[in-house]
Amino acid sequence: MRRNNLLKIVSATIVNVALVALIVKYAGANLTVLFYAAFFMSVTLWWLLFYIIPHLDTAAGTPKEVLQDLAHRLRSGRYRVTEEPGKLSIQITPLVAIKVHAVSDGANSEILYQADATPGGWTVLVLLFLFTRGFAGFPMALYHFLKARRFAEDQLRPQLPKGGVPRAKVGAGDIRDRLIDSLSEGHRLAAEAYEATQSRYEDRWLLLGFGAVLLWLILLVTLGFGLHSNLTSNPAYLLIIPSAITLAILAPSVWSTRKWFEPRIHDYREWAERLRKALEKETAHETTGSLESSAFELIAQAYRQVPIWLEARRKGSFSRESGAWMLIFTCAIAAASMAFLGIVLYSFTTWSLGLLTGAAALISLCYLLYSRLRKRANEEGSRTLKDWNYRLDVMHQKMVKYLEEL
Amino acid sequence: MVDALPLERPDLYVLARHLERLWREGEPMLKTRLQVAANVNYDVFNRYLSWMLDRNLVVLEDSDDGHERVVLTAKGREAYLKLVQWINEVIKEELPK
Repeated sequence: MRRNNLLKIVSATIVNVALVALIVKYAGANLTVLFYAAFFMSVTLWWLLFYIIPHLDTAAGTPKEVLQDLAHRLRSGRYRVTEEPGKLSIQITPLVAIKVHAVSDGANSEILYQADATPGGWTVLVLLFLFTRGFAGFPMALYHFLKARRFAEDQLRPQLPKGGVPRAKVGAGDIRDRLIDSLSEGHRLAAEAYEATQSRYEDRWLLLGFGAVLLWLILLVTLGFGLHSNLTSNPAYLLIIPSAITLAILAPSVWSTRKWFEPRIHDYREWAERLRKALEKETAHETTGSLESSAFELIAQAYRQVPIWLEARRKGSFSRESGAWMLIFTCAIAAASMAFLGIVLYSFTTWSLGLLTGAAALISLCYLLYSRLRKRANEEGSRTLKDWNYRLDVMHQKMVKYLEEL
Repeated sequence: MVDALPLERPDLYVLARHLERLWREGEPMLKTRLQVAANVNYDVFNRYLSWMLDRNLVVLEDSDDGHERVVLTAKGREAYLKLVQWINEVIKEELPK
């Protein structure tokens, strides 16, 4: 076992024992203590399963060569692979992923693996953790770890170069390898954009549903307690009026949400499908049909879409600005609670005015934070677009110049 | 023989389409088949063929059935490889997170 892993296990155990000892000292030994001990144990194991990096094997070549070679082989096997400095991230199932690290070991590379989750997998893990106080999170983390270990043993180990020079070096000039790599990267980006946008669309529906219920309740309480006209004294009207107002307010949001999301989702899915089909043909060594565009043209067209896909992926990534979003979310909840209380207590106490003012202030803060986030995102988006278009222009000029000089 | 108006500057994608088709075929290809595969009309095809012949990217070969066939040369393969390599390098550069 690597020293780093041992260190992680020992430190996690020490922290675990110390926490349980503290609870026993201050609360005494009882069922509550047992509960917390089990909770801390579960959290610790959960953490360990994602942070230990077991040794897999040793491969011939430098870490860069070995990872490039492995990435190509996995892409040929139609896995979704992300290359990062010193490591690869591979999606195994829609929820489970694995990270493969390569560390220099003389003329060879030591290959290590680490269990990981896809964005969807992390969402499930966090939800399980929150709703079961960590207990269900542990079996799920164990499942991720075992799945990653099996993949490492069965799929990765046999593909590692054991002797001689890795294939990435030998076959560096192979046309099909390059086409597969380019198609696979294009497919990954399009698929990630599609998944992120689809997820945002579902979140938006959830938010609209939550907003509708909240608005309906506020209107119901306002009409029920705040006004005592003949109109609202009738129970039937008391239900119909809030429902009609809620519907009238939310209908434009529903319409605009569908109008904005559906064409984009359709577009990203189409691109991901086109690239997936081309990738399948390439890995199966099929020749393309006569009237279809060439793989080269498809890649060139797809790369024009990359800034849009990166932007879609970035917008769907909650984790990137998680701190700011948590703050906005907390402020919004607090504002809604204060507004609700302010309305309910309006007829009973003057404090309600303070609550309503506080709610208004919090809503303003939310808006301010949101507009800052949006401004920064727009600036980043235009920078990415500019940078990417520059790369494509440089590539195009290089190609044209080469053809002119032939 | 190919007798067509000279091509001033070939369209990168149309040229790549011709080279890719020949590379995929892996053997001499009938001119008409290549034209259909490249999805261009006869006149355009002839101009591209002439351009590729002038630069030794392809050669024409007579076959037993009396039809001329187009063969990708080592230089033609190298040219297509270069185009594919450059497009691959674009995505290999670090992408924004």
